[in-house]
Amino acid sequence: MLKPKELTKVLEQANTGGFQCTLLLNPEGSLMAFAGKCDKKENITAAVAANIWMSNAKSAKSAFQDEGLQYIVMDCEDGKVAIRRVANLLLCVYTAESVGLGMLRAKVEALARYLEEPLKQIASP
Amino acid sequence: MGCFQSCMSKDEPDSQGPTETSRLLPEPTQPIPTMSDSSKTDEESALNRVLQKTANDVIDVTYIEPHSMENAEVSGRTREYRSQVASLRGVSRPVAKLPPNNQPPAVMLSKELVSPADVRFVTDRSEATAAAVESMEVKHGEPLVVQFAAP
Repeated sequence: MLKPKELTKVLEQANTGGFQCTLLLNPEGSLMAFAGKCDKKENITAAVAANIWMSNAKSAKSAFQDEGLQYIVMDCEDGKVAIRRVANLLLCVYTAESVGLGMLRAKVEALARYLEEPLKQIASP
Repeated sequence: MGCFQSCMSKDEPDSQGPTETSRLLPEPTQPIPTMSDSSKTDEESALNRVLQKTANDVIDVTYIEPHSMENAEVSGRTREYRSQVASLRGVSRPVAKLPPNNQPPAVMLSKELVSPADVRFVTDRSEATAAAVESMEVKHGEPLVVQFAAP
């Protein structure tokens, strides 16, 4: 079983230097955990992120063949969003406009590396 | 003796506190209300309101239908996108920060080379940046997964 408080503390570590919110959700759109100052409703953000992932995953399967979709990065008008697959869940991060894409990717990769093993333990029966 | 005493003190007005014969539940002062038709209607309308609110709030991400648009909508969007692209053509592009590349190669190649100190500086900074990015990691606290002891 996952410890929700510890999971929130881990996600909270990413929320510095322009990073506004970090969410962990499942591909169906249910919010598992989140950390940060989320102005909008977090469950709506999670649902929209999951919808974007699922919309692109189907076409990515035919494009990437073996690997499938691993990463989505969006440079939007008011900020940047990154969605990354971790075990059988999705890690979604959104930042202010000032954050660079390199830093965004580096932090998401660090979080994903840390969460991969514990989430795999939960995912496997 | 205890039984004899309880019989004797049954009718005494001076006995204080609850006794073994006192009521546990208070006397009902009002009759129990029965559900009337108006309250049933109120409950149904409240239920309908809750159902309506839930239907409005639920975001169904599993229902993804094939992307299909009407022809009128497609042509309308095409017109809108073309007009936006046309408006962007008049926007001035940012000034290029690199030096202009309109000089002959002989002139360009005969210019002074970049100093080794600058090359070393850029190399060191890029290696340090790569090392800093690689060293980025999550601070380890308590373990995230708790194992329940199987009986």
